[in-house]
Amino acid sequence: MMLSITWIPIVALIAILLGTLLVTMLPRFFAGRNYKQILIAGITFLAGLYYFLDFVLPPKLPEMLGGYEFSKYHREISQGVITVGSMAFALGLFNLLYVHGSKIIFWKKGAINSIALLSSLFLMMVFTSNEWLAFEEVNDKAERIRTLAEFSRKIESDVNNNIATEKTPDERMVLLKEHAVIFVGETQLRLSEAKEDLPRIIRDGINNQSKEINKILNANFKFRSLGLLTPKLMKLAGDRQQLEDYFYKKSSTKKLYDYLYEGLFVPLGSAMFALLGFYIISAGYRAFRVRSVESGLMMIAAVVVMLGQIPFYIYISDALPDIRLWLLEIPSAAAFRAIKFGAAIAGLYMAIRMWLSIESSSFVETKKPGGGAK
Amino acid sequence: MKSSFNLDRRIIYAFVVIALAWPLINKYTVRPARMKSAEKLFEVVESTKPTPGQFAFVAFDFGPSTAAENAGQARVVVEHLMRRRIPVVLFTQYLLADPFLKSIPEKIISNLETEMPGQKWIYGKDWVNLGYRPGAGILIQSISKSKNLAETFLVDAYSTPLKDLPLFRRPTQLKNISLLTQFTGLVGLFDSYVQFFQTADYRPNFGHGCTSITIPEAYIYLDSGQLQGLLEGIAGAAWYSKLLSDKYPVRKPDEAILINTGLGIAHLLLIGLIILGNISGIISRRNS
Amino acid sequence: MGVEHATPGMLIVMFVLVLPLFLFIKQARGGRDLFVRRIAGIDAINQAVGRAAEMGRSVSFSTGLTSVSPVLYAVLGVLSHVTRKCAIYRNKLLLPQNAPDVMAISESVMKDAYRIEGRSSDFDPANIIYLSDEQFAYASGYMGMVHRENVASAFLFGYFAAESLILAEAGQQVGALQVAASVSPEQVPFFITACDYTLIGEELYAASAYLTREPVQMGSLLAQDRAKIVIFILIIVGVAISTAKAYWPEINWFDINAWIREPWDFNLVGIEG
Repeated sequence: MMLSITWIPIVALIAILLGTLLVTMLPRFFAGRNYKQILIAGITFLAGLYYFLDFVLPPKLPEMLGGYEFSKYHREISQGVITVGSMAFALGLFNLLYVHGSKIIFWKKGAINSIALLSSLFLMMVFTSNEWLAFEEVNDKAERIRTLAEFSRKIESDVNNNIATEKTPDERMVLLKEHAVIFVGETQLRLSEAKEDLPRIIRDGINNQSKEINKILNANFKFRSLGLLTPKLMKLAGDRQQLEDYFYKKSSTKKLYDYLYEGLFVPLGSAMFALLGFYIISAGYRAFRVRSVESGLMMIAAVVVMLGQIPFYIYISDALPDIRLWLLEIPSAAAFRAIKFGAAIAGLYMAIRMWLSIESSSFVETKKPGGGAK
Repeated sequence: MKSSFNLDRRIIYAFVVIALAWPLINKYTVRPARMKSAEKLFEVVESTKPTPGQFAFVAFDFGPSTAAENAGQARVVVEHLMRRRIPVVLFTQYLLADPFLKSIPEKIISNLETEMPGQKWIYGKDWVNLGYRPGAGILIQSISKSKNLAETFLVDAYSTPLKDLPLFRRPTQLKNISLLTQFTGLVGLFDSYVQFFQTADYRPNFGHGCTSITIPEAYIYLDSGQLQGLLEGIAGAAWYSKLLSDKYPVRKPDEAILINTGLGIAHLLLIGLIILGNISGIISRRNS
Repeated sequence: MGVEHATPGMLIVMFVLVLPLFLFIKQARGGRDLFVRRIAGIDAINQAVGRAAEMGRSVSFSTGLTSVSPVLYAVLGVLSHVTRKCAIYRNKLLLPQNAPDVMAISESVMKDAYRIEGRSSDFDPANIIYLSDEQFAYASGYMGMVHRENVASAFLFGYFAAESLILAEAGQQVGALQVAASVSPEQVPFFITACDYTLIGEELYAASAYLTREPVQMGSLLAQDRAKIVIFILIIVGVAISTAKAYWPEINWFDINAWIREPWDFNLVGIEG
């Protein structure tokens, strides 16, 4: 037998409790705080309240409450949050310039390292910016053709829906034809600059699309041709993108960027991660000593897990992978779950304290702390 | 207590270099250890049918530092998906993974088209690269709640409007994602997918590729059924690669098995050093 | 299936879990004496700072990859305590940073700590060093900093990923006394191997309360333990029901999972058979 839970008593109970909390906490909340702290706490509460209500309320409220869909603007709000969060990027840059700049200017200890850091920073910024601009330029060239295709689609749609526009459909068709001829010509010219190593599929694609677009434009170019023209322009835009990508990959900007990123940055990152292998083995030799029954058990478990996942287990026992699986699925998972439960509840409480701003107003208390535990 | 035989850590590092380099230089490979969690993921991909309107959502949330493990995993799974003609949508929330979103599928396609002349894998129809998108958990929630993914993401990594790509021509939602696979060395992002990549009435199959460090944590989710398959570091990728080679014998072998062999030798070295350290500890305790 | 919105069952569980927080904070503010067991790693914090003062070397405090989150707030409590101790002993405290927004908050906390101890002039913003937001670039910068500054004590508090062993080994190589605390259980073995003291899981959250004895934090700490009892009871009940179902499948046992997942029913009638 299943209980069908009514929502009214539940919501009422929660509303009463929240109301009681607010009423009892508000005087304490306002006491000892200045207007800035109250404003920050208020904004924090409202921001958290949105996500709390988004989770707590059902997807759509019942009709008697207005039938409102609370998450209607979730995408826009989320994008706003992401945008605000990304503004913090400048803080790191200022700190680097301040700390290392002052070391260089006052020639403190480590100034040479600071010169190396700042020059690497600026070098990478210059090359990355150049690379980004070049990539945008590549996209722009294709985007123009894509925009023209959208224009063609719009003409068709406006005429079908009897939408009045500033220019007549015939004038728009003339503009469309003019620009289409220019873009096709530009693309053909650009194609002629490509060398033999351009993939055949791109070359043939551009040639075919250009031929067909010219055929449509040169024949009796009427409104009914738009249905054929639009997808061809879209396809040409894609082919032009690939053509520009081909030139871009050969450019010195891209090569320099690749040299720095894939030649320097990627191997450095991999090397740092590879250090872990060395450190794990040296730490294992240094620290894994059997000094008690518990450490002996731990050692046996560690060795079994290691042997169970390497190819050479077959020389010892075929049961090792299964024992390893049991160790990972049962005792290890249980321990991990226990730690995660504790950390999750602690995190939940901390989050509630942050949301309701019932943390101390500063992390530094005004009176000195007492002793340790009793 | 001073040990009677204390190896300098530089000698240990030298041993490690030899243990790892020797199999790589000599291309020495050994059949990898059986990984049941990798088998589960293989079966999930095998049982996923290439249905019109459905695709696999693959997240490359790793950078160059963990590429040794995660890139190997990504390669074998994306290859398997492409062989089964399941459209693949690639995406990352980690900026440094952006170059892999292009290089890995292009290399796979080049190998497949060489292996199967006449067959093509077309961008926009068989695979789409959405590029890097910031936002972590908030973005994942947006994907779950989205009524049309083409409106959520708008353009792909090359600024092509998604609605112009064959895969996104019709409105797509979470229900169109038959399989989610995520490869990462970062735990925070993985937790967000587990938590938010679902709706009240639908959750796609979830396969995860993790680094060796996060294996115990991933097992929690495999055990609870929130993960349907798991690639445990490069060992998982190696076993998956072996399964692929068994199914497609003409397939060109990849690096996963080679790297896994080197890793196995390093493990044996570690066990040997631990035993040596304990023996020297016992001897020094007896002597004193 | 997944959970997109709270169900009535979930709201009840949430309420039961969250209620102890407010009750115990109220009790703590009312002056009730709350017991916290001794945690060796937290006691070692004062010892570590003292050691650095005696040796005349620096102290480093790393928050790892922690972003603005509840974990950060727990870490900042410890940071303020360490900063106050360093201010008293006039130790140099280095704060290598990974995230710019965290850096701004940490700087504010440090400045406040120096001000409270009456040592505002000793605060040097150049000791807060932004290294990189990329994981291994941060680890590389940290290693270099620790070796150059030859730190005597290192604190590793917060969220760490694969770079944890690199950070810990760097301190180990210069002979630093290291105290680490991570909420990620998979990093704990690395810290235990390379550090002198390690706090596991929620002990990081307990550290701040333990050091400051601030009522809100103390009350929250005790409430956590009570909430865990609720989870413990749920696990026991769930296991008992699952076991009973396995042995007596013909009986229609109460399904906790289904009850928690049952969505909103806007039917005004109370109980349906």
